[in-house]
Amino acid sequence: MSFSYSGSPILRSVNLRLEKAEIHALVGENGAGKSSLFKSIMGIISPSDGEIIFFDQRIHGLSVREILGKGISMIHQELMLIPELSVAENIYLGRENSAGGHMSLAAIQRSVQALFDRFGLDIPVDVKVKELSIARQQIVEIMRSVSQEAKLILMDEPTSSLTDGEIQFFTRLIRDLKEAGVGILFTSHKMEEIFEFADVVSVLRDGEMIGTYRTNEIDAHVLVEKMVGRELKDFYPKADVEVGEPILDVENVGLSGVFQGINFQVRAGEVLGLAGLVGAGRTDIGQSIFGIRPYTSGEIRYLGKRFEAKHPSEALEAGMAYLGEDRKELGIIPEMSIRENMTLGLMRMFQKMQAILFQAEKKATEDNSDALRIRMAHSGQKIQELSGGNQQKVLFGRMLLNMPNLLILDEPTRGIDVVSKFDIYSLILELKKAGKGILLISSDMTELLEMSDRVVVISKGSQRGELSKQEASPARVLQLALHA
Amino acid sequence: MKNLFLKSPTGGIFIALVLVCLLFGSLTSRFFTPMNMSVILNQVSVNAILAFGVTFVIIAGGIDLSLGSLLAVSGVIVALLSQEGSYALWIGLLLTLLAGMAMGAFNGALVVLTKVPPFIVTLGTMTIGRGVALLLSKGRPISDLNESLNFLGSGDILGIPVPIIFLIISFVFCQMLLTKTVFGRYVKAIGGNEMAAFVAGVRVNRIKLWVYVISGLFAALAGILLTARINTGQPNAGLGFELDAIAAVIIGGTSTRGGKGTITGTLLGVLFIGVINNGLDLINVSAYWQQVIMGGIIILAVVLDGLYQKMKK
Repeated sequence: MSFSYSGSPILRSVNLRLEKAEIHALVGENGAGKSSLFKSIMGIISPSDGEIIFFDQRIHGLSVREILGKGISMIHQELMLIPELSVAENIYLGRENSAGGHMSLAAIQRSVQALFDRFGLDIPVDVKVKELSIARQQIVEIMRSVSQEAKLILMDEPTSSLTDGEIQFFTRLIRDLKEAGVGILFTSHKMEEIFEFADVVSVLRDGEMIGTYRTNEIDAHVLVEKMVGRELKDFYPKADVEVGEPILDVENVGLSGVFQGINFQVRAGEVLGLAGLVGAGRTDIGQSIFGIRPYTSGEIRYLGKRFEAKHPSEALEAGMAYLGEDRKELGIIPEMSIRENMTLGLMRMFQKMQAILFQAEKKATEDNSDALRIRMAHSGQKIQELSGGNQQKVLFGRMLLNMPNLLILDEPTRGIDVVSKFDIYSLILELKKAGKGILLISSDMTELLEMSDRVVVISKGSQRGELSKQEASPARVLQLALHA
Repeated sequence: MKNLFLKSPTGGIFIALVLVCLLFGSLTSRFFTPMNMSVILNQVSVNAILAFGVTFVIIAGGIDLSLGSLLAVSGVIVALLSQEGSYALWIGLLLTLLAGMAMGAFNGALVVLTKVPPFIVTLGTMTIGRGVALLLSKGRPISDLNESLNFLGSGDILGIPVPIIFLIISFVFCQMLLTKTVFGRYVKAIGGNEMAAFVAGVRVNRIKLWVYVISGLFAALAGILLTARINTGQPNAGLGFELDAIAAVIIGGTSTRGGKGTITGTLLGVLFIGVINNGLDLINVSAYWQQVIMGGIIILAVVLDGLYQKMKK
């Protein structure tokens, strides 16, 4: 199957074969063609050549409605439920008047209840959808497909908005669906879940199908290499870097009511990891150092001098850089361009008596974008049009413009694709080699332990211990993090 | 060229303005005359100057309802300072503009320090301002003003009425300030995502204070022009002017949620309102109906612009 769109080919001769009741993962960088493939299958866009066969029937060229009728449905990332209607009504939405005449609400509820019983779901059928958690809403949406007798369900990043506990529940449901003979084709950026519940994984790169592999015959490392298209020595690149002078000394620092008694040091050429559960106070520590919420007790020394930022601009001028944990909330200005986002807060470098030096700004941001391999049309493009990984790279570009000595990175790879993750890890290594100090906060345990030279564990606003790279095993970190 | 035009955020309002001009032009021959064009520009100059200033506030995600009152206070102050035989004109003007900035700074400081929504803060200062204007003038119009002040309101330079010259200078100044300076860039950033701007090191409170100062400054300038035109300091001047100015900004495509907007759009919005008022006058629509029609057109303009923006995507 080939597909092209507005002149440039998006998918080139892609072949994909799905068996009945197979759980099939589709992976690839953002822009590799995953959503185009989904849309082609669903008949939202039509392939320029090739064919799609579903149970021995050609389905391409059919309308979306006809394809739904054949038993293929799709779960979008943004859920398509009506919040004010009940669970049962949502599942039967648009079909209340189907073949057997008008169905009463009671009949709909009975039918949905029977369906939920079959899958062992304990979601009440008569509550409004808006009262359910995101995870449960997603299950309702999947159940809608099941009730329409879907034989194949396409899911676009089904777990991206779920918590760990919810993912387990979701995993069980997927397995039950498989038992019931439903095939699933889903996209994901998370390696663990691909290996946890997919039978088969297909890799797309730049619109081409690189290959299809059984998950028990390939490992994560090779899979990432297939996605990136080059050999990787280590997904978490490492090098021996000589550790230099202390850059940041945190001594008995506290923020009243949030955390207290924090002590650590970040030296040139090393990554210090802050581990802990969500809400333990790690983010607050990073924000205190940077002047977002100035600390109230203790002392911080930066490059040997007492340092107390009352505003982020003071930290920036001292040569620090900060990446917030939530890109949408603390990072980007969606309506502004890539360029304007990259120089935000740093315009003192591109101004003369308040007047913006547009040429200098353009050059600096474009050089930076090239170095970071940001995929964009041009630097005047709105940042909201970029993928998550590329948005994150723009924010890294902003940090680099400031030529920092210390970088505070809070969840630097959250919600971004694998290839961008790898690029960011490589960049962190480069910064380390250049003698920068890095304070890394991450909830991804593997990432934190692989990237950090030392780890400080925080629990409930207090420091529970410092572990060297050798001592820091996931079990040891968790034990300290759970310390009450 | 066509593409460039379609992409422009002010394309929709520009088309609307051309359409209403053509409509009135076809209804009456008195519309498309050089004299009438000059009358329209002269009439809109006060609203335009208010609207330019408040555009910064709205882009930064705020609102300023005290404009009309600030205009009245400034109008009274300039009248008091320009009475026959008092200070030189320039001293009066300078002090009035400073007073406008100070009143704006008061708004800004309240918004920044109390975290009370700007809508409430400026609703309060709107009433305070009106009271101050009445106190300063003892509730009476102030007349017997300096001849040279009157020149600002009704004189002309090389055949161009002075208020239109002020309109043009204010337009160029605000346009440059918004698009060519770091300040303008950060105003948009704050309106777009205040938290992100703060974390990136933007002095958010300082910028927010300044947008209200600018709004106050332009309200004072508008107050001077109005007082000069009617040759009297009126404590009741400018009642409801803030609504016309804000309407013009919104018709001009500035988002009420902040982050987006242009001075050119505001100018087009001001002209749109001005042309409709003028046109309805020319075809003898009663003043009561004019208000009904105007309100309807404002809603229609914003709805159509929304559709137009969607269509572009």
